[in-house]
Amino acid sequence: MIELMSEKDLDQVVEIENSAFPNNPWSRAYFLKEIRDNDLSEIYVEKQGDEVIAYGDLWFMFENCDLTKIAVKRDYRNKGHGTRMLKYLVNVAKHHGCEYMHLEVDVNNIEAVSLYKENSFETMRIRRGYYDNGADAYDMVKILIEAKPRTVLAIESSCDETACAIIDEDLNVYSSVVTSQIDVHARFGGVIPEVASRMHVEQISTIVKEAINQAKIPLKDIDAIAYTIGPGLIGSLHVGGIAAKSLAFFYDKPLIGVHHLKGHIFANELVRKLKYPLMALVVSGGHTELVYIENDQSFKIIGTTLDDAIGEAYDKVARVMNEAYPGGPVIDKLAKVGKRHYSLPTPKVDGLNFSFSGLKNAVLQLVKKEETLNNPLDKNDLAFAFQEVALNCLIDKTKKALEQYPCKMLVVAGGVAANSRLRKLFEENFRNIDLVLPPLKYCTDNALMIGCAAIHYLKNEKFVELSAPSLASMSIED
Amino acid sequence: MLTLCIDTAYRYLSCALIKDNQILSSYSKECFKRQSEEVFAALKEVFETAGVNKKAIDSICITEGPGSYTGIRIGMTIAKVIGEMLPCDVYTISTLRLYAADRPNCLVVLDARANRVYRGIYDKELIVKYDEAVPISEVDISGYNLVGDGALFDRRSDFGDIPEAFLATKHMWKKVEDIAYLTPKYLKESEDYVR
Repeated sequence: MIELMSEKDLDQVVEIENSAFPNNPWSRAYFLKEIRDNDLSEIYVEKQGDEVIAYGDLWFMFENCDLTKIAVKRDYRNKGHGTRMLKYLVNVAKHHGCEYMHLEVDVNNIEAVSLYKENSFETMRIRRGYYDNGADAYDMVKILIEAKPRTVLAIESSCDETACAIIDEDLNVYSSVVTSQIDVHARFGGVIPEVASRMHVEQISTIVKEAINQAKIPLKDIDAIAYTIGPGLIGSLHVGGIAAKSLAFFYDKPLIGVHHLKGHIFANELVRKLKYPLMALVVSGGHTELVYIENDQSFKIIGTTLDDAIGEAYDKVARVMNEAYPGGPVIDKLAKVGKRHYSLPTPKVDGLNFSFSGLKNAVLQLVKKEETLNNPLDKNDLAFAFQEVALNCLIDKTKKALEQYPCKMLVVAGGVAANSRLRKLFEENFRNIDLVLPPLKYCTDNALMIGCAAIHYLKNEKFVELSAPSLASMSIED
Repeated sequence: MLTLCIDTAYRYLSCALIKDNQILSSYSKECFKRQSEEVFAALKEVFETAGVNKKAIDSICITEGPGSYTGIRIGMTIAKVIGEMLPCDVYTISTLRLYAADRPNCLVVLDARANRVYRGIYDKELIVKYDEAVPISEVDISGYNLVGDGALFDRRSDFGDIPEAFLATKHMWKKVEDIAYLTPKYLKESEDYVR
């Protein structure tokens, strides 16, 4: 059994010491001092009856534990006693709350070096001429704490969803709570900023509390607080920002301000690992952007809309047809039963940019013309015509972008990525590249996506101050 | 009782730590439209000055409105989130009631824009006229102790000592029964934004 060394073991230990380390043994007096006076030291012995067969000495220095000695009596070597003692000492160090264990070993002591390597000690460096006889030593270290993946609590409030989620670095999802204001805004025919801000402040504490309750992770164990810093509706951003900062301030956590679109892009990591360089097509009510991403810190907008975002065009076309807000799902549904009947002009824009206001106006003109001619308007066919033209613009430009910027992966992100026709067309048109379409539940705004992006900020140590202003507009390139 | 008081509802950023009947530390600065960026630096200062652990508070008192919509939401968001999570009690007080403090015969006016003001009339502890948004032309200031945007009436604007006002009105703070349902008193309904 292994126990703390006492003075009656001294003679036997000194004998083993002299035999194991003939060049530079510790003296009897030194061992005695180690037992009696060194509060930072603990020596353990393995005994069979009264016979000492192995011993090891530890020094505890805050988070570090130094393994200063380990030796096995000659007749008992190569019988697993060294391994047994080492494992025992590692456990002792863990119980002391040490974070790593350190030792020096003679580079020529092949048996000892391999024992340490087998027990996951790693060589940090070589100390030249460390021993009195001129031999070199390895500095070896074993990490004792099992690094737990860090957790992030993320808040999203940039438009009309109040959301909070908890996720860790390994993308384990602990909770994701979203309340949408869409029913309220549907009554108003669109998002009214002041109304959105009011609903955020009503919901915010309930959502945060619910996310924490579902995750069963107390706030003190969260490693960082993240929120959408922009772009978005400024009043809405403020509420989520103040909520996040309140938690960061009261619980002394680092604060991460996430770009909303990076959230949409990194949400795709919940599907599979992203590969760089990466092309992202971000399509939502506020954005139509082609983003070339070299690595998780390098974003370049290579194409954007010159006027309306594609989601905005869907909303406006739905309104022209007297259909409800939001327009995306409505038009998607109508178009499914529509057929090729009306023809609408394809927007002509140079380069990788988009334009949808001409298309929207063409729809308006067509509706007026049919009215003047007293032709009944077939909404299904009109939805079909609009959707085919709009989505083919996305496909054309994305193809062009990939020709100019070869990528290993293509991701589609944002609310419009939920469109069933878009998903089908992209699957058909991009068979030669690794295409990721986000699951439907991650297309609309949520906090999980902010958490996914926040993990990258955390790894890159990109934090913001409590005084950081929320930004209605901000470039993804910054 | 150790209370963190916060007013971000109008022109000032004011906060105070009040223990029983004593102000341990306070901060008050005109900070119109910059409260969201400065509020946590101010909170840090009051906690450090008082030498009090942030988590040691057992209540938060905030102004519930009227005032700047964004401003009201700052204090209220802090109170709702921390009130639920810490958790601690939350108290509210009308912005106008707070600024009136314990003055007799006091008319409080805040600019509500579009030629209107938020008006409340208080006589010490009594409410003479409830808070409401009224056209400036309907407000007669004669005979009152005027507090707030006096400049609208060619008087000096004066908001008093806001941290002291929190202390003076302590017995008038309203305890929030269910923090989840706490909402600002904007004195203007969401429905007004529909048209």
